[in-house]
Amino acid sequence: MLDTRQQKLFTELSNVILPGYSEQPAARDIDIADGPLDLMLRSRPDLEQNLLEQLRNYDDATSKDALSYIQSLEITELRSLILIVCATYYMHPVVKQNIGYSGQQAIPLGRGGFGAEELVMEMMEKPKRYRCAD
Amino acid sequence: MTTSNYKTDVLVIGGGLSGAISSLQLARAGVEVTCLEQGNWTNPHDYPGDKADFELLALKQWHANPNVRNWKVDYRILDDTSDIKPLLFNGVGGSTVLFSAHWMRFLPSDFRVRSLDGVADDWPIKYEDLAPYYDANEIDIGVSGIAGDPAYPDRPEYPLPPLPIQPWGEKIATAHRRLGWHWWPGSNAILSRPYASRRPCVQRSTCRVGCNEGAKSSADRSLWPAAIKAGATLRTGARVSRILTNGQGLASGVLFNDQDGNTHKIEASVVILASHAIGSTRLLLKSANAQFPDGLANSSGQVGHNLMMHPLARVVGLFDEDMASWQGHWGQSIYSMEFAETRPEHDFVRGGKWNLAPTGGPLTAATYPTDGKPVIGEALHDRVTNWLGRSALWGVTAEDLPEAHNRLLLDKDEFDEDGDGLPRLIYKTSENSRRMLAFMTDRVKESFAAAGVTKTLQQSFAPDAGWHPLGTCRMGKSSDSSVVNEWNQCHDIANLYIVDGSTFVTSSSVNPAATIAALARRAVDRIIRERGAPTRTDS
Repeated sequence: MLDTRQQKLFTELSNVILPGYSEQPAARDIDIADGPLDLMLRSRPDLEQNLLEQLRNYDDATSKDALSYIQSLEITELRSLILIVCATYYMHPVVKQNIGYSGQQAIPLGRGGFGAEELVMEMMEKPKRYRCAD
Repeated sequence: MTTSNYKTDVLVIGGGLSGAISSLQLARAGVEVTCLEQGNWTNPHDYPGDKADFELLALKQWHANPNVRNWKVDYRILDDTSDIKPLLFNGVGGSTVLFSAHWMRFLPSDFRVRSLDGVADDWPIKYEDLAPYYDANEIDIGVSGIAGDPAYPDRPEYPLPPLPIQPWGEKIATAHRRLGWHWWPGSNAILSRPYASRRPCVQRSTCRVGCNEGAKSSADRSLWPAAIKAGATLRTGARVSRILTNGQGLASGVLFNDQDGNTHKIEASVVILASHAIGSTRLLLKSANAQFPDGLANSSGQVGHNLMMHPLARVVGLFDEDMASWQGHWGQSIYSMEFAETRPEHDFVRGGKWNLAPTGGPLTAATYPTDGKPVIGEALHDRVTNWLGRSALWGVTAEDLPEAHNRLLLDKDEFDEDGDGLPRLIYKTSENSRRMLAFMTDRVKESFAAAGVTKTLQQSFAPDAGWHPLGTCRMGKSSDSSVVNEWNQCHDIANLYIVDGSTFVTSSSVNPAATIAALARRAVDRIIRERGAPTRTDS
């Protein structure tokens, strides 16, 4: 759980990583630092410590410009922050709907063929290509 | 303190693929067999694939790297000295619980690398020796595919027809026809039809975090129920700490700890190590004693050496068309052996295997590691939009050659709960492998381009993909230069067998599971033949 200041900082960083674009809402628009973040951290409580550390570092940074701070991050820290932000953002139902992602669905296999049967037949007729061992 | 003693005829250490095959065959033959597995059964309902946060859980709780997953049953592997991080699973079914189920046979040339290409070593067996065991295992396990691939010798039809190669597979197949390149529908240990009371694939594409349907033929679903029904005993939560030897220099049993911390002893007339290349090698070294001061079966000094890790590159092709490419099986849609064999015009020897896969959901699209700095802002939105549902992934596995300096050893500074050094991997990717991956990624981009892809994203070298540690207890004819003979029997200890990927002489470019299983079945069938009468009283 973040306090008010931490929520503000996380929203600033998230909004640089995922601003509003085309039909996609900005991270700020889904209140990313509130319910969505709590939901994400319920799945991955191990990420909280890293998040708090990143927010502390951002708060302590001389420049309070979120973009500059993000650009200054080492690649491992950057990947870690992007993971936290994206995991929170892309689990949001509005975002999922906008990108047309319905989740991993169970789709029973049809009884038809496997696809490209004609091409398989062509390949089958080609000469053997493995090397003889002996 | 040892709190109880048990006896069995044959003891199998490790309940993964090779341990399950071994136990099944022994039980069918009426042999009294007990398998000790350090992990537990997993419940398919617990797998995250059918849950909204599956991509997030796949990166931690269900990660294939035990150092990341960090379950209580996992042991730490020191991998900071390895270019490639190991992936494995400790539990009933072993790494097949999380594997992608690509079910590939070795090529005939894989057994004759020295003779054909002048590098590494020949195996003491050949393709034809393993062929009947490949055949039999496919029936027990449940493998889908189609015979007739010109990259391979003739073989019987698969027990199940191929899974759909999906729209992206059809595009690439058409492209390869144009290029004159090999391709073939993927052979997968995934059910395409109901089989052996198991349900078929529902194309959720979450194979790598366990199959909720039980359609993936992981050893816990495909082999263990039959093995237990045939009379095998499987004890879970049983972590072996030592293989014991007797005055005759034979294996006499093991010490193991249960999950309450109690130590037990079990005696056996035959011990079969089936604990993954890392686990088996570690156990041989941990079991050093006055008689075998350098570890068991190690008079050659080869235990731990010649570690091979199958360097991998990945290229994602972005198509214009929405194909819902987060669905399907993950599993290989198709594979290509176009560049699997040595060619004189290449600046490397041996070759690589390609496998085509779907590309996951939005979190994968946003965070999948590719070369360069991660993107943010509008570029990140674009990446997800262009990737999600519209892409396919070629994975390229390079055949890794054995090199003595690549090895597994027990660390001198960090220790496990038994007070033994933790396993440490020392692995440097060879120049041959680097060249091969560079060549292959360029060809993969040609493959995608011929299929109409205008943009690719690549990971030129995937350090996080060490699915296939191999070779640390190599097979060979001579006890001076190898650990086991052509029957997976230790040269030094006649009643100790090793039946996992540690016994590989070379790595091939293909996924090793089918060959590990075939070697195990062949070794155990010989044990059964040589032992004669059943030993289980109810048989």
